[in-house]
Amino acid sequence: MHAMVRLADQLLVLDHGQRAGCEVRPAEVTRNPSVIEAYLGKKWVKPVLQVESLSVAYGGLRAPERRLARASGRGQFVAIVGPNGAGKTTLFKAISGIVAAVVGANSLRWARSGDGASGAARTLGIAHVPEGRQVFKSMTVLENLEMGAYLPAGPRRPGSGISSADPAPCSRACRPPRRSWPGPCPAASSRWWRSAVVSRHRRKLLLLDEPSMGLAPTVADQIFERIEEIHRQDKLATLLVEQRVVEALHSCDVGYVLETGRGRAGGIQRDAAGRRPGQEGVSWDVSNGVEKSQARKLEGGQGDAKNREKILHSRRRARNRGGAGARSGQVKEVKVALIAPFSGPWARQGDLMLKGAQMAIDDINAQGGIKALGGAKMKLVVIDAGDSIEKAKNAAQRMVAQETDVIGCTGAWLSSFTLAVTEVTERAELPCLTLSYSDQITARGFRYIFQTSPTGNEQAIQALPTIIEAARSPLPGTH
Amino acid sequence: MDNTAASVSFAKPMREGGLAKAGLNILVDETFTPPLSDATSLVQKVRSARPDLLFLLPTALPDDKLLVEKLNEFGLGRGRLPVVSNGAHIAAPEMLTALGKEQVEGIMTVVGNWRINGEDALLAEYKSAPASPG
Repeated sequence: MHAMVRLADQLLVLDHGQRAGCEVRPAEVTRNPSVIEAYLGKKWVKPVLQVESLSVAYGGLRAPERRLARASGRGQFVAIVGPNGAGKTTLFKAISGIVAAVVGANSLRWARSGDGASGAARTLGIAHVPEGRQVFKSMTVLENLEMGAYLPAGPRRPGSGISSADPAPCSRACRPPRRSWPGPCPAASSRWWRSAVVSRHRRKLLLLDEPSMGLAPTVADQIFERIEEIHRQDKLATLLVEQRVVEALHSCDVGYVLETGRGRAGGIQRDAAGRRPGQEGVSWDVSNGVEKSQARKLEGGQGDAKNREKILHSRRRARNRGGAGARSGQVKEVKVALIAPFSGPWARQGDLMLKGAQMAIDDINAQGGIKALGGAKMKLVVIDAGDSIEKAKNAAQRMVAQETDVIGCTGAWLSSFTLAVTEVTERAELPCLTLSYSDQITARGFRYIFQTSPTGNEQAIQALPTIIEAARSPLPGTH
Repeated sequence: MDNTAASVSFAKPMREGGLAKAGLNILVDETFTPPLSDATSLVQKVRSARPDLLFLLPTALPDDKLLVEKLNEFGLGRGRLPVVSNGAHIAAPEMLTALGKEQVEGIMTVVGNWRINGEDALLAEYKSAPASPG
């Protein structure tokens, strides 16, 4: 084998007529569990879960088949990274049985049952922490924990084992009292509740779907530390989906990159002895192969890493046109986007924003355009943020993917929408100017968001004395 | 108030001691998810508590209309119960056309912005510009 590895550019290993492992690079092949088992006769750790090929359909829309085999051995930490639309969440939903697989259901193999019944996932000890920040706001923290621990086939009081000793992934400041109502730090605390439940009940497989979504970088770091701690202490097989590629690949044992439903790359990040690539005898590194060259491209929000890089490149180029391009008069048009609700309950405010934005652009163009850019005209791109946070985020993703020459945007009127939209624009390095009020908008440490108005917090503090004074003076003709 | 981020941000310092410092007690603290289908139960609770001042913090125009309409229906409108909101939405011209000047009488709102040079001319131009489609 050593001679072959030194001589060959590509290496295929056959085991009883079947190809063992999907890698071809010799250094990778030697580290593939299937190859080790077939070639050396060593029994690799039996996987808790193995997915070989899987296809999911939403209505008539069929998600592409996932060809990348991935296995989560006992106690192994597997990270799956990839941009939005790659199928990461769909994969998790298929594993936990939320959506049915149209092809490849039988490829979901479980160590205990050996069958492909996705419905059995619930009783197999799978803890699925879904994407998003939904909690039951009318229930206390403890009740939320108990709901997270509930299984139809589980104990009658699933939450009875939850104790105050459960560690939290975020700082003490973010940790809500157990009897309190959800509120001060909903995003971070909801993650804490879930991981606390998972840790306590010793699930066999932990599925974490973008646990850092919407969190401040410091809080997200604490979440990752907590995940590593859970994995290390409980020996829990963990499958993590993330867009924060660097952190995810740093934490994992094995990493995979998913791109529009298909595996793009994968490999061992840390071998069974905990040795990282670069150390003696550990030569293949998913982070060397993927992270450094592609991580930043993948953290964008589009379905394709190449497109993502093109988009960032063209956007940076568009932004830098103020230099030589402007002086030579090459810039003909400067595009800015307005992302605001033009449908649903907030549509009227979107219309008013559009009216103001169009008026400003018409005014600038009527005066000869942007003088510093040789008279370049401005053009407004209008994007409907819709009537929900999810729609607003999707609209922002469409905007950064399709309008690659937009150099800045404004929106999204409703603070909740702005918070979602700026998660996308921040990754795309697209400057966003907002008049939204929430203090969270500029409290997350983002670099590409600019808030023009005082925050709601500040407004309340400043206005309260005047409000009370005004309220004490009855209107003429009343009282 | 509704549960959007702007309303939560505005209410936070008031809930966390701002009102108490000003000598005010919170009698009713209700949060709803927009859009509202009926404001009756919310306004009923307000009327039962008989407050001296109401912070009304919706964000959507349809919710503004429903709430102000219901306050008037329960006899709390037209300045009988001082109403303070946050944001310009509640002062949109559509409120006046949809509810009439009597019903919107007495509503106050806090709007955060900075004055700029030539603001009056800009506002006049904005008002005279044709409404956008929709």
